Amino acid sequence: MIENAHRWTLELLDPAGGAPESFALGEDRIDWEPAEESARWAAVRSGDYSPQEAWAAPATLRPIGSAQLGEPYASGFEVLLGSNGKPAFSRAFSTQYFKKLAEEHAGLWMRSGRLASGDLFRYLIAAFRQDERLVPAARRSASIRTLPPALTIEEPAAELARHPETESVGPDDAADPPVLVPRAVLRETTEHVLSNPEKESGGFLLGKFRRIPGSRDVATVVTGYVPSRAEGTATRLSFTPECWTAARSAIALRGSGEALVGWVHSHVIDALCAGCSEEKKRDCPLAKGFFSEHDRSVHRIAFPRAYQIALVVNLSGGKTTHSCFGWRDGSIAERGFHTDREPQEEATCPVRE
Amino acid sequence: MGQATALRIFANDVSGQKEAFISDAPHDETVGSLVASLVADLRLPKTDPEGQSISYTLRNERTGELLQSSSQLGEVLSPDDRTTVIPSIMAGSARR
Repeated sequence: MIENAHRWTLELLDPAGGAPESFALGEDRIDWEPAEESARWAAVRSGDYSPQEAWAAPATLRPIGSAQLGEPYASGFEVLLGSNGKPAFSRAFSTQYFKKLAEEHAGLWMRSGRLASGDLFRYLIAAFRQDERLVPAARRSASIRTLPPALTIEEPAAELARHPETESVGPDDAADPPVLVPRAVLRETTEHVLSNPEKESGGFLLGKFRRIPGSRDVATVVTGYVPSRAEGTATRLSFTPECWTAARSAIALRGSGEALVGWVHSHVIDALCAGCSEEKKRDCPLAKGFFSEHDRSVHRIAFPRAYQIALVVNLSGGKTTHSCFGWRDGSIAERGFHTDREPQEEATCPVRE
Repeated sequence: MGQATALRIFANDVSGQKEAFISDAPHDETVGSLVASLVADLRLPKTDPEGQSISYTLRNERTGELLQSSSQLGEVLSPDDRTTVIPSIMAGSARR
């Protein structure tokens, strides 16, 4: 667990020039785990740490003082991994990390009339040193520890991301952990969701990890898709305890040392847009793929590893497209992936009648 | 199952990212009560984005059973059993 010796506050600035308002961000309000996870995986991607070493190293939070405003204001924070016999490693995060919390507090201002819908607002983050170190409270005699991901990193292989024989799909950010999703897997996901195109469906992505040729970076190579019996409606997909148990059994049955690297689910855009005109449907941003608040909640709870991704299969206008989401700097964002080249049009096929 | 008055239990979250070790879970404590404290210990969310409660179920990894919340720990777990706290959660295109 990460060690935090600071008390953090969020200051909302009034666009109308009124007095700012400060909100204390208690330990139960700030979710530091995605930052910790991101830092530990970045250490693995640096090539200096194995996963076991990265997760064994003590992690500490340190604010980065604002050069413009001076302390206690922060322009971000760092997660420092203790050396533990290895070179020390740090990863910096901007105040963007607090955006969701800022939006929640701005919602309070909206309710009180200080902000109107569409108003732009700014926020500042401040950190105050405390004498006593804050560690997450553990009740009764439970002791909590974070576990390293159960994975091994294999030697480079030719089919990896950024290889000339792969192509990029979606927004390409060089800082994102590289992911290769073979076209055959994309096809399997498409066939699965098209077997029930009126309702959402989904499943799990399995994969392995390999060093990228000529680099110390690590790529996730998706090696299989396990369809889930998660129950869907036109706009919802429920993952029950039985779904998670079945997925775990499927991974064990395959017996090839794969890790759970992500999940897949469909969005039946045609159902969402049933009442819209054809012209409106053509320009509909939903058709290009999105990640709902419920999707984010599932990803945060069940897929918190920095390398884990979510593929969304969009069923819209008789076609299917894939969008990909994953962790970037401790937040969930749309991201790209690599797939192997194929002569036909990528990731698109007609919806079956 | 076991004879001692308290059980040692390990519990993981569904992602396998976090593990709680309980050294003294009473035999007569219910699974539901243990799950409630594990949700707090593991800092798992109690509600979904719409504010609805998220329900969690405890799975005994040794037997593969999903445990009833009214069962007593001494009836369904043995010392040093490994368990997983598994959520029922919803994804989907419905936007808040």
